[in-house]
Amino acid sequence: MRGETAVIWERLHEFFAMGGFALYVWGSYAVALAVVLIEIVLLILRKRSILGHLGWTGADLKTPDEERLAQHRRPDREGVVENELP
Amino acid sequence: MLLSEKFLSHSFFRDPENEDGLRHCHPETLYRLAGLMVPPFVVVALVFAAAGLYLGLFAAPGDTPLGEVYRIAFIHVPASWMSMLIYLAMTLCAGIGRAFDAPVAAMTARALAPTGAMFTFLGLWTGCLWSKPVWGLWWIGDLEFYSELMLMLFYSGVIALHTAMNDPRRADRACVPMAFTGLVWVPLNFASVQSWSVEHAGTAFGFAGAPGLGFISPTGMLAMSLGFFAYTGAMTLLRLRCVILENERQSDWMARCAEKPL
Repeated sequence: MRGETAVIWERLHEFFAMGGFALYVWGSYAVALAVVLIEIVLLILRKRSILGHLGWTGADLKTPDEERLAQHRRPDREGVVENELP
Repeated sequence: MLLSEKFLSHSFFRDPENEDGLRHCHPETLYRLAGLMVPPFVVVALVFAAAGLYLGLFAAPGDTPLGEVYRIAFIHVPASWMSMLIYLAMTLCAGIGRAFDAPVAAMTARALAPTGAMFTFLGLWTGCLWSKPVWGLWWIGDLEFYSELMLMLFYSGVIALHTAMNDPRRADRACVPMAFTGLVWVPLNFASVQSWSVEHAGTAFGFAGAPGLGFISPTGMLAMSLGFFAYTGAMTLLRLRCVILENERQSDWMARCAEKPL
């Protein structure tokens, strides 16, 4: 099938060369992927940090069940009064 | 009765504990609702980003006047659109939070800012990578460059205020005038790309009827935009959950959930 939907890359190295614009094209796509991954990692770290400071590691706000929360509470933070984030 | 009143009087929105209140203005309800809404956003983002990448890298033809370099546009255009759209959403949320004293709106504005800054950086970065091979310079002192840079600075300002101030509610209030000041750069950015910059690629082949790349390229950019939009939704909701936990850690409802004073 020819026309707009035809196969446009006949060889793999042509795809990576991008008609001589590899630095610019792949530089854009790589940085886009990188910033997305960085944002996801930062978000995971932030969630972990706040749950850790609340003493709720692993637990989320699913149920107010004390036993369930106690299972997930970190033993080394037992009895620690935490009002402040650093 | 106004349509909006009728809409909001539905039991889905009413707060059973508060006659006048809306349920989703309570951080606890919003926290749970945000958690429920994340998976659909993730699925939509993955589907549309995959479609956009396929259309942009494989289906779109390469024999354009500019050559293959125009494939940058499949990142650049959606990222720039999102940088403007998120700025509008952030300012709207900050304004609603201030005007109606709605903390969850201010928290949403706080949750939107980092993703907006990320897309603005991406728009600037891909703009420079476009500019060098096409116009010969990494940076051109045109309005589209400066307005995007100014949006970046205003996003940074909002984030910096929240980082610098100890009291998040005071920081919310301080952010409102800053966000509204930066609002002027959104229409300037949009207009600079759309109309008076003849050089800009948006007019070289694009949506304004220029003889361009046919059907596939605009569709690819649209798919990428929807993917970025859904990604923004997922990231914002996840960050909103973090913000709620950070902001409300001394509240009654969180104490109730943990069955101990936090």
